[in-house]
Amino acid sequence: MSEASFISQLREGDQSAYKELVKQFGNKVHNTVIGILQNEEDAEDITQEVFIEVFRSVHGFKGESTLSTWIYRISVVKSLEFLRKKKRKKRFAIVQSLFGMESVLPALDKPHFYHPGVQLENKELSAILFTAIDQLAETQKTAFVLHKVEGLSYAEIADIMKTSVPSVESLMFRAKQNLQKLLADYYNKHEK
Amino acid sequence: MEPKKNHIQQTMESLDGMTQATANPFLYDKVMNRMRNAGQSQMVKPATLRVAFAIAVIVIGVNVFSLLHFNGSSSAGQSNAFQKEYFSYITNF
Repeated sequence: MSEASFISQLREGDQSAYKELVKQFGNKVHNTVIGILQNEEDAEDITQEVFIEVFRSVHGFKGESTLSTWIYRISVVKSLEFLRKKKRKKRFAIVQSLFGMESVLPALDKPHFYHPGVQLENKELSAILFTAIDQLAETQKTAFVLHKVEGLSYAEIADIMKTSVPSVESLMFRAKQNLQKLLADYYNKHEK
Repeated sequence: MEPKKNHIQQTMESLDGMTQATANPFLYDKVMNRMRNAGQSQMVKPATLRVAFAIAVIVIGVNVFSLLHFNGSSSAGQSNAFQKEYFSYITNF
């Protein structure tokens, strides 16, 4: 079946097409979202939200990009929105605690995140790397996760991020540089 | 310096060969459930809005009525009482 006819089935609200879409993209969306959020529960919740958004807005999908690119884009946007909201809540909780209002301060040290797809022997090192990834700027983090966690090519990432391939290359270069600095700091602190 | 560099390199390569995280096997059912629930709450919304609007109209109506009706009558009552007291004072004087 061609992508156009699949999209028209989705627009008609065909339940079997919905099911097929979740089957095709469920893991891709979840893997992307979990890579950005670094939390299983949040990722499950946002993955569901991504598909709800896809089903609701498929009528407005103009087909300027592939279905896959569009779904990845929604996944990234939803994940980043969720992270921003979480950060705002954290800041508000800190302000509340400063004024002595009843608010439990969130844990400052985020627990290590273990990605379920990482090889067992790399578990600890990847947890350290994910902590560093979490400190990157949004665009660098997005490019790095899409490439290293989801395994997408620079061209695919450029389409998703609505930018050029050289821009993605530059984002990846800066992301790697920053990660190396962050890891150097980490090992300086922890190996004394 | 060298061991640290090795550590960093190993950490940077720790995602190599990783597999995709798998979504919940009941993802489709969960999405459909959430969509159904969201649809129901949207159906409820206009009804609750209509009730809230009706209540607001009644409250505003009662307020406007009491302002116009009782405000006018109480000032008339006050001036009547003043009139009576004034004339009783004059006649007694």
